[in-house]
Amino acid sequence: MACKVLGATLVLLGSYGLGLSFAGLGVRRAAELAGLIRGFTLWAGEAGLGSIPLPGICMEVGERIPGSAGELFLAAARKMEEGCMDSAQEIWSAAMAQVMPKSALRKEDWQMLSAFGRTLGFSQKEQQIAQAELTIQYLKEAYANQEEKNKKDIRMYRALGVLGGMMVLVVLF
Amino acid sequence: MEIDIVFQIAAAGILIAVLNQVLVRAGREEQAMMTTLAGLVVVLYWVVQYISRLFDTVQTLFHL
Repeated sequence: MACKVLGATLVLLGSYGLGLSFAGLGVRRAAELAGLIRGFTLWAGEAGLGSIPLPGICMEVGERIPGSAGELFLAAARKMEEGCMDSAQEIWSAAMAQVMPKSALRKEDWQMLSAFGRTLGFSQKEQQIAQAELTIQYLKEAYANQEEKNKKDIRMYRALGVLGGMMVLVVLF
Repeated sequence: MEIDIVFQIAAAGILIAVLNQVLVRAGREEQAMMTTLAGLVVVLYWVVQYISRLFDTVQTLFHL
């Protein structure tokens, strides 16, 4: 009997934890989007001044922003300093590929970041800044939508976790 | 007579109803329908053996 109770407790805790982890994905995405908004705002500001070259701007932004947003800029800065690739666009894509597995961002977010990368080192400074501002606009919208979604989803996933665990108990016991 | 199955089906029914409501209120109607169908399949799986036994008993009783 004690074993059954212990097993039931473990199943419930596990399913609740699973629900929390699903809820956490949305929270992580919102945090990463917020970090990227700050990062791109800093990037646009530094690029507008024109006093630091591109690798320096990416390094400075990467050091000031925590999380995977900062890691993206730092990875791009390090690859630019290494000089192992032909274009800034390739370097940005490689940096994205390095950070993507650890990130909670969605495919459409990466597509927007990829669109920004296509202007790097290729178009004029004003066009790059305009693209950065467009990216900031998209990120702000995505952040607002994600926050709205999180308000509903966090409660839903917690409830689903507990109820799913109870359903497993009913089926197994 | 095994009465536990009645309580098990009742508990499953209550949980599926609550799950359905949680998903519908979160705007996930399709997932709610799939959850209800899955619950129905599970309960039918439990019940089918008793129905089979009932038919066998009826057959034996009436020499059919």
